[in-house]
Amino acid sequence: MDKPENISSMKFKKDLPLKAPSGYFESFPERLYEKIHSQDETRTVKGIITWMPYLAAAVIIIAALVAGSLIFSKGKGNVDFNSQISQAVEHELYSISEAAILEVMSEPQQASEVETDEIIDYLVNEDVRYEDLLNGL
Amino acid sequence: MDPHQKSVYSDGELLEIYNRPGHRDHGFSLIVEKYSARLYWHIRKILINHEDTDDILQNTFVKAWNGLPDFRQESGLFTWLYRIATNEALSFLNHNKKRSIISFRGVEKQLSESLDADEYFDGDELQLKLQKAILRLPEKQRLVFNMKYFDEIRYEDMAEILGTSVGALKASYHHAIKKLEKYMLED
Repeated sequence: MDKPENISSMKFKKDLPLKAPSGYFESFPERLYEKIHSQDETRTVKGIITWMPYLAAAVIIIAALVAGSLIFSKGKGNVDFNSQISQAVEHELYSISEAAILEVMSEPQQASEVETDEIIDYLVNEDVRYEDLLNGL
Repeated sequence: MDPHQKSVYSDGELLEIYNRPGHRDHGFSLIVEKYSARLYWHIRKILINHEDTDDILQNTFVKAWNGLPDFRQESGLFTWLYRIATNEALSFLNHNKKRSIISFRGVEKQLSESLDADEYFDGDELQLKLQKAILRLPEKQRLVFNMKYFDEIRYEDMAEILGTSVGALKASYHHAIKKLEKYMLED
């Protein structure tokens, strides 16, 4: 290879010497829209799931308030106290979805299944410096 | 490089179509058609590997899809998309850099190795040497060199994409050229 004097005198093509797989650009839009639409669907489901625990908590609080107000009104002696409490609590608890209950039940199990890659990802995302990591050992 | 620029619409026309009621999908598909190849090559020069480039290109357009309804045209569509693509690619690279510090492997070495093993590399010995020399440049100089030398992007547009001054970019390009000459002429 001759030794040129500077970069502009070097005899190489200015084109980037990399190729894309054949048909890549033709198939790209379809794969992209698939990803966009699945993202839109995931967002909707995630939105619902995010609100579920709050909804469940709200229902429990309302049930407690209803039960409390009935206990308070018991002294006034004009209601069938026991049946009203059980009816109110039953009604409120029925409206807690199965998904919300399953989500709460599955939490400890998820926490125990941590992969090495996830630990590295966590350290990277938390911006833990390598020196700090060694000092912590 | 495959220019693949089928779209005859200007950026203004594309945004006008996109903003027409009921034309969001069509307008966006025209934007993808116009910019997918250009952004692909821009990202590919940063990441080298095709599979990583494909992932980041998809992420870029997903972000564009999510961000376009709020796009106020304070910058051009071209510079806005390039900025998203650049940020996505650099974040990916920096994420890998931190991982490689923990796993004791340099990301530049990995990129250089992936050039050697790249089944889509289509150049001669001198081009391979140039690409490896470019990978030895600091991140910003590498970015500026690729955008100026291969893509011929104007300094003014580059300044908007990278959020820096024209003077700083010219200096970066100058330093990059000097270093590349040194790398190319050694051994």
